[in-house]
Amino acid sequence: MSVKSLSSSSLTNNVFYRSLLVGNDPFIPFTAADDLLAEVTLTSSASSVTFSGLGAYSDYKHLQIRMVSRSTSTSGNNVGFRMNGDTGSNYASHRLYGNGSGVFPSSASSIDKALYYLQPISSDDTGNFGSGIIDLLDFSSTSKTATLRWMYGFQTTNSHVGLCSGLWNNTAAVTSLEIAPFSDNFAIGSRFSLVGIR
Amino acid sequence: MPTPLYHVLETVTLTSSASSVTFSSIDQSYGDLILTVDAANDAGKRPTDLNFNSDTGSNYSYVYALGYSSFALSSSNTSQGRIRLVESGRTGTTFGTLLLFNIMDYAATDKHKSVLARGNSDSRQAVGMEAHRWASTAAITSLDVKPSSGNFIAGSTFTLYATTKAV
Repeated sequence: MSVKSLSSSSLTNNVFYRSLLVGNDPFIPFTAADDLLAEVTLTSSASSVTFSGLGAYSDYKHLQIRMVSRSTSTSGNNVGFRMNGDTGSNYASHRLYGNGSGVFPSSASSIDKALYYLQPISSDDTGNFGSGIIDLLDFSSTSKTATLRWMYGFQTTNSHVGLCSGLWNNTAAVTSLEIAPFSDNFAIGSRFSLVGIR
Repeated sequence: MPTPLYHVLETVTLTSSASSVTFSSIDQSYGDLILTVDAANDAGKRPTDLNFNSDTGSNYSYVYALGYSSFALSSSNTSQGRIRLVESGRTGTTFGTLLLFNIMDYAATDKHKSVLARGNSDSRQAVGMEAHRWASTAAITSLDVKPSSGNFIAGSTFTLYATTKAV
């Protein structure tokens, strides 16, 4: 989807706007600019899914993952993201989430993956998959540390909905992105779509 | 091989008020559906509801987190008769309160349907993120959008997009 510049803001015209749109047109997905680049739908369970060769997509500004997933076990609800195969403690994450009883922030730094993505587990209803949309911003830049942001959510006995960000503290261009449960596997039917955003 | 992601399936702009808008005979060859709603209603700042395949049974569940000017809250529940985007209503004739529903893997027959939604209400100074589930493995072939009471007013716009699916 396209990035739309704001023509108005409280900072520039001293008008107080109650809407985040600050007087601009509503966001509408831009139908001509974004491409589906690759897609994986699991026909057998898998401990991870990796999109590699991302350097071939450097004519896109950003990348996006649209995913639908669940775990094969009762302990596999946490999912992490790693870039360029880096397993060092070079990541940080922040989250604002609601679980039905309250809204909470959390954060972590010097961790070995970007985290705070949760999914349904094997004891949840059959067919219950969670979903998320993850943006990898300016992934080709060699002057910025890599940034992820995402929204995820699912409804089970342990429901979650959250807005999160992840940092890979490295200015290298991102050439691969690994998505993996902390333990166990993604279930059959889990789907991961890689999108290029101009 | 890159393939354009978004496809507009249908746009409806009301020329007179209506109690609901229905998208039917939805093409089953895509991946996800994205519904945008830019609407106001004549009964106050009412939530916006969605039903799939005319199912009004107790087959929907939700979790949401809402932020207001001075507090935040979260709620979840099951056995609902519809998807309800809580902070999504607008009165008057000035549009711009855009609601966004991502309906994932809508044509799958091995999954319940999960929905990520975002809403806002400028007059209530509210913003929300929500996750919903329709506990059915049926492919979604139609969806109804309606305000929880009253009517959408003339000028309200509803657009249904679909995303490309790999074959």
